[in-house]
Amino acid sequence: MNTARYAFQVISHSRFRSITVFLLVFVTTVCVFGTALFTDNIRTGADRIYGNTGTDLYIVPQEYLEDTKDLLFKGKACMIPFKTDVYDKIAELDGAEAVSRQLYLETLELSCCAVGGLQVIAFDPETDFAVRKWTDQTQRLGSDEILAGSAGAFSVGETVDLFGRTFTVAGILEETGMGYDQSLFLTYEAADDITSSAEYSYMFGEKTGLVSMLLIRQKAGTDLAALTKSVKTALDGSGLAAYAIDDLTAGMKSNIRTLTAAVRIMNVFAVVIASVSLFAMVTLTFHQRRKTAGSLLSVGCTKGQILKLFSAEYLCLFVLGAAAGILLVCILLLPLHDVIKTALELPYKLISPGGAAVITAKTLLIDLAMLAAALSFTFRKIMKTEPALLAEDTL
Amino acid sequence: MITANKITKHFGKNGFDPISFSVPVGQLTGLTGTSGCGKTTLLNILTGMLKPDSGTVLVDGTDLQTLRGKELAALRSKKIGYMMQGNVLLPDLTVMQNLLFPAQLAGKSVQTEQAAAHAEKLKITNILGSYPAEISGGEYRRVMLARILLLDTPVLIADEPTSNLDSASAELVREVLTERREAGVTLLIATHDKQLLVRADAVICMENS
Repeated sequence: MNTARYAFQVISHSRFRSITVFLLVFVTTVCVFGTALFTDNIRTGADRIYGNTGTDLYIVPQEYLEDTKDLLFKGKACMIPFKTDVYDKIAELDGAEAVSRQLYLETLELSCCAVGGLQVIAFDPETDFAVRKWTDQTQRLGSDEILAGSAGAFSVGETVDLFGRTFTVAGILEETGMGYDQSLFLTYEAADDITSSAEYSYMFGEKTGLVSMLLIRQKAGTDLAALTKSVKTALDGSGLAAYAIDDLTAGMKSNIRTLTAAVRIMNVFAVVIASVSLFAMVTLTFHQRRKTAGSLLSVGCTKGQILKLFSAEYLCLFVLGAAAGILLVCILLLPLHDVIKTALELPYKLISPGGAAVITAKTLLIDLAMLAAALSFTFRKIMKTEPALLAEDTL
Repeated sequence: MITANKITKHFGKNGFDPISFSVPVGQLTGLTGTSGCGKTTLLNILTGMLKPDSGTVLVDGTDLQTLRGKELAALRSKKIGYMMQGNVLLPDLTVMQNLLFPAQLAGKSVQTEQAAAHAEKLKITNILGSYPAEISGGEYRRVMLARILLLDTPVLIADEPTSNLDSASAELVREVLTERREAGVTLLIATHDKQLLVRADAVICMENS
């Protein structure tokens, strides 16, 4: 009988002890791994927005600031149409490298997998710098083609009916952590065709020639404050306002900080409580093996062999408990990803496999450190006792 | 040869004053005395399971107190087989696994057939698949003896090997022990069993203090 066989035999025979240790490791892992993954997903979503929208200024009607935030960052579909004649004026400003426009059409309940409906967004492929950056689809988008957000569960080549017209999905955006994930993107040309139809006007009102948002990207090396000032001057009296990404994310940053701090505090408590419980449980159950240790010593087993035998048993339970905990968190967080994202109303994006691997490694490290600490503490204490007294132990 | 030289050990009011003796090679030496006189403590000291307050134990000329960790383990697995008084089988292993495991840990190539042969001799074949918690006290003693026999050590020390046994089983154990003596094994047996003591080549009698 080798060490692994012995460990398996002890685990399967002493079921109550094994299940208790397993459950404790399982709960610890769920707490440590779950909260770490959750907060990292929020942070990844936030990082994505703060550094990567590619847009430096958003121009929207003043009264629609909150709607814009909801649409961009929470995935809450909305419509903010306005007529504008400032497009050319802004495009000519010093410091504006590119200006693009977007029109938000109606929210559609197209897919069973789309949580909270899909926002249909018209964009201008000629000037766009905000949508195409999320996809490797480089062909010019035809008027009968669309791009789909990552949460829509569409596949390239699939056809989708929108407002009585059939579109082919030409590309899928990578996950942005923003409202784009729950959106479909078609060209302005297609949007004009749709909105100019009598049926559409009758159902949703006149939208031809409208925009919902103007997006500005500043020239590299220019001063954003100066550009903002110029844009505001250009918008004077138009009822429109220009917002930098920091203006739009200020409140959300605060929410994210509060939420992640709360989760981290809970995480620390969970880790401390679970670690102490784990330490106590391993110490207690290991202590019950004093007689076994004495028995093994009486037949010539070395202390090293005893440590190896006991460690193998606990290691098996720890690995099984940790694996089950990680699996449960993945089962809960992955399929419910979009539900969580919508429910949170915060940027939320799955971290990379590498990031997940780091969290997994950290979790296992915490579990194993607890095991090592508990085993070494108890083993040293036990081995200070004379073997005869261990064998006579009545525990 | 095991030589005890002025060994003392005290637990509170219990214990014994200096005791010296030798266990001759190839002989069966009995150790008897009233309950609580320290027989078990003495055997624990002779096997390195307990440190004496004073005195020395020499096993083939080596002082046990000079041995550490692995050397003591090797002594108990290769030189002195020790059948303890208490119930010290491994609770999570079956009887058969309990028989084989110590020898396997000691790196000895013990076959299942050898274990089965010892089990047959001690009439415990029917419980080989049982766990220690499922067997009777008498069976437990015989399993412990079989476990030590499988280690095949030149010295065998046993503490009350016939206690808890019915007369037939006790006789079986006596026969097995005397057979070991015939095979050249040195035996030191702590017992109250007169029928076993009469078969001993020498008897050490301990008294309280």
